[in-house]
Amino acid sequence: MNLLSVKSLRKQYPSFLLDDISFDLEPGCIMGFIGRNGAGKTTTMKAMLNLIKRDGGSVFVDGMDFFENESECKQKIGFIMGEFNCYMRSKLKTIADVTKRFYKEWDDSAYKGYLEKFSLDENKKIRELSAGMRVKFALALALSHNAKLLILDEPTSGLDPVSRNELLDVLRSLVEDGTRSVLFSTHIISDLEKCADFIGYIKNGKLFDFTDTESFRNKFMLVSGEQEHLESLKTHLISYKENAFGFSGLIKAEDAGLFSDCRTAPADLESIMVYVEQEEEK
Amino acid sequence: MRLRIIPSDSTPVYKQLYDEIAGQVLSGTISPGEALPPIRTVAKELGISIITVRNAWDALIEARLIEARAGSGCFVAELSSEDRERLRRSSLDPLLTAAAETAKNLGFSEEEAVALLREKFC
Repeated sequence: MNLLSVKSLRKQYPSFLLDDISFDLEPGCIMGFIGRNGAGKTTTMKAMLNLIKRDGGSVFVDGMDFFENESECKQKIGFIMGEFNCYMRSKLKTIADVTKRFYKEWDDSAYKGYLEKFSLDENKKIRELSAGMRVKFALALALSHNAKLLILDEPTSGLDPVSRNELLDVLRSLVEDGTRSVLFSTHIISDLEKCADFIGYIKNGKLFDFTDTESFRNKFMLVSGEQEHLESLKTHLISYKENAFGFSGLIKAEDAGLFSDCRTAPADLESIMVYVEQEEEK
Repeated sequence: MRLRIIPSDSTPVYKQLYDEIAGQVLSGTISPGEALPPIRTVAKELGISIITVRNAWDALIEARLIEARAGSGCFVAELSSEDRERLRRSSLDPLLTAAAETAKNLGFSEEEAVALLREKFC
């Protein structure tokens, strides 16, 4: 059974429409949400969790209708949205003491374990922590009530590469036993390459693609060729850039046969995203 | 001049540049005495670092495919026919060695391997 199932989620703002977002996440998987700033990643997450009122669609958590059983479902979810920057003057201990009362399955030893793992001192105040430490604290809270589903909005932004890798390792080890899943959004494409099993690519409020990372990458290829071939191949290019020595661009892998005069190479996620977003502006 | 470069490819960019230019010099697509574009232009147009372009140029100079003239940049070198032949062979040699090794490992006979290579020419 899917741990998370989102069906035709819709949210209408006066100047923005998030429409028909549907995907399923099975247990034991990490899904990465990508998209430009303002594409709708955070809106999707918020609408899923009823933090903003949706205009349509349904969400199932572990088989249960989220909107019918909101508080029960939330017991199963660990959620971090943006930076932890409230209660600046409170000690970590105080915040944890408040948080744990909301969760039936709060596991104090797990919490202590994460504090140690992340080298957090619970007598410190939030304002005394660096951005990275705050993320780690938020994560320790989110992980300590035996959540099956973790939803993290840009957990790695503001972290140095070492902390980022540590965080990704934590996410990996969380899903290892096959009972939990993680959904996280990021701009840092290398995060996905390191740890996402599935990619959800949101573009202008629509789910542009949802597939496993490997297939997503294999759908595209990078090409580089000579100016004289550009005219005849233009229509098969998703988007391209010209330079003094020819052009380079992104194609669908199935069109690779047409580009025998060009150099082709497997596409990386970052190039895919850059070219796909460029298509729009063309 | 044709420079088909894909920076994110697994082949190092300086090697891609080297292969593109060496290929054109050896096949005669660009002729001796022809000027190479300035390093800065190449770096800017292709969105790669100047150092990378310079490394490729240095390797081409080393291989005597191009020559640097002080103050006026690099030019395609005049190649003696022996040199051209030697360089053409040495560009192909590692690939053929690898193909032959793989063919042997996979249990292809010499005839089969040659036949397969012939197919690729069509």
